[in-house]
Amino acid sequence: MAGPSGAGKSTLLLALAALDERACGTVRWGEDDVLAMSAARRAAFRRERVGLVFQDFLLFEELGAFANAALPGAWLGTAKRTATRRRARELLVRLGLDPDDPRPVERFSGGERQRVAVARALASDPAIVLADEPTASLDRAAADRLVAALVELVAGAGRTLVVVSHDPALAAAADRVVALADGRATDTDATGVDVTRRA
Amino acid sequence: MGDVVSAFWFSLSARAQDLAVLAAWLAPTAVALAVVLWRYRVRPLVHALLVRHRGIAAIAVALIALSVGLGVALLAEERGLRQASARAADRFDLIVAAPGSDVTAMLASVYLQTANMALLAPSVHADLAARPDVDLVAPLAFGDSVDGAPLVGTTAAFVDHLAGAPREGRPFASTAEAVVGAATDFAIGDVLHPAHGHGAGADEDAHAHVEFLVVGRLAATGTPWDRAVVVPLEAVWIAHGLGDGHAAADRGRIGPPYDPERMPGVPAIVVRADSLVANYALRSAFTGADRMAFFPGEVLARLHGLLGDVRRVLSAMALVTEVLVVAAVIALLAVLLGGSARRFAMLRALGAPRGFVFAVAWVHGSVLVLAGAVLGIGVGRLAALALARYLSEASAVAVRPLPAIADLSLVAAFALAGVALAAVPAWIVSGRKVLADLRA
Repeated sequence: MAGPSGAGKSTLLLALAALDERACGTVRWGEDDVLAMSAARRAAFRRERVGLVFQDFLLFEELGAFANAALPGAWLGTAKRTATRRRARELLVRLGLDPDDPRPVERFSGGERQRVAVARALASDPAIVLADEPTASLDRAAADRLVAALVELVAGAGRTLVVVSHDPALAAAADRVVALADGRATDTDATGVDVTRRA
Repeated sequence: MGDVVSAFWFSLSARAQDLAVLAAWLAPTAVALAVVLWRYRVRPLVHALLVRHRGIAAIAVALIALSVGLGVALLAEERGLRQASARAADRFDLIVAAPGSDVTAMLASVYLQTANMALLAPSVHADLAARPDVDLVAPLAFGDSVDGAPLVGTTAAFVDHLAGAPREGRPFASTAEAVVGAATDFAIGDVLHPAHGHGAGADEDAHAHVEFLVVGRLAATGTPWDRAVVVPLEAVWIAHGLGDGHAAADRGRIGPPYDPERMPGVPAIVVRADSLVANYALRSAFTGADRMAFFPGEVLARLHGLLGDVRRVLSAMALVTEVLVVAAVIALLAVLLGGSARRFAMLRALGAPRGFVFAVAWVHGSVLVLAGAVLGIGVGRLAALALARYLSEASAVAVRPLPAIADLSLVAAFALAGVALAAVPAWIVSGRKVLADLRA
């Protein structure tokens, strides 16, 4: 999703994540209207279906990479928690990070921190990953590495990735780009991202 | 059923009852924490919160520890003071004095506090000494001092009864000799010059012609007598120009028997009968128009009753202080957790149930309360030791703080209240608007 600031990209993303209770219209997941769910069911929906990546990472800076990546297991039962922790470890390795690195992530570079955030988003094996400007805080090289890893991991697992981004490189990697302006999808994107639709 | 439970309860020892009460106070906190920690893996996040807000966490723990420590110290100290005062009076079975305040007479005789007391007629001593059921009759003469230390005249038998054989040197054997308490700065061989009276009003020259050679140091008794200079009764009489209380044929003698015709009056006589029954009989027999007899233990019990009331007030005040401090800490926590609202919102956004966020915030608050409470026990113990040292130096009664399981129950009750209060900010933070906090 591309578009100028204030176009409603993040609002739409949060609505997709069943977080924006004020959103009008519907967000459908199969037969379910996500926005019509109770707060508890919306939380369960996010828990079971959605992975989230934030622009500013939103990690627990005092904890290590693994503790952050395995966080979604903290509120799950034993079996699911074990699986989440195993996946978190594998994801960190695939993202080029050491799961046993004892350093708190506050000592990591921006790129490393965002990779930890990606591992956290995917650790619970969600059907869809929603990412809000994941490369905005990174330099070009780190952003490119992240885009490559994100696309590979999500596509490799047969999952869906919805990204809000101004980053042409990220837009170029997408199967479909939706431009938003004033809260509506348009055919052109004022930011210059190539708006295309592919099968 | 109730009778069975009641019978079982009263069949337990006092210690077992105290432990049961302590367990009952600890159980709700322990069970609640165990359930939450079993249900959710909150420890890493609690650790992160503690590290992130370590300064505030340290202040919160310190405040709680100080308030808990104050309560623990006061209770242990009061109990220690009570026991120390009772121990000091142990050797004073029955005191006979001129009619007046038994409290004053006890404070003067046992604790060597300055007091103006009327003198007993010499016949009282003679009557006591004539009784076959009396083991010890020890007149006391006090009122003078040596370099601020109380000077007491009594018999060698009473000194032996009070402190046993001297730790160093030997007992006094003449009116020119003295033994000193274990806590005095005097040494064997010192020559002491008594002053008339005590403190600032003491007249250093009144007994200028009198001096005592220190010949022994008594063993420690844990009583104000450890700071006293003890001389033969006759020496005090002679210093005051009252003769030595003996017939001419017994000139130079120290100790009983005294000549009733020549014996000056004394302010108090310590008596020990050969049986408890005899002690009670003596108390009846020697309570009259010109004399009173009393058990120091009974007077102390009365004073302790008063102290007991004070203790209840102190306990209540300590508890109120602790609750107020915890309330302040909980308010602090609410602000602190509000500062982490975005992190909690992130947890909710990732799908964490509200209960999980509540658990993180509540365990975080509970850890602070419990750490403060545990640390407070240590702080209280140290404070009680320091206070005991001060009181021992100030009163010359060897006070040792006596912590009790009941005190721990109070701390456990306090911790339970704190842990319950910690649920308030946790509930508030877990119910915040996720979207608003995420966008903050």
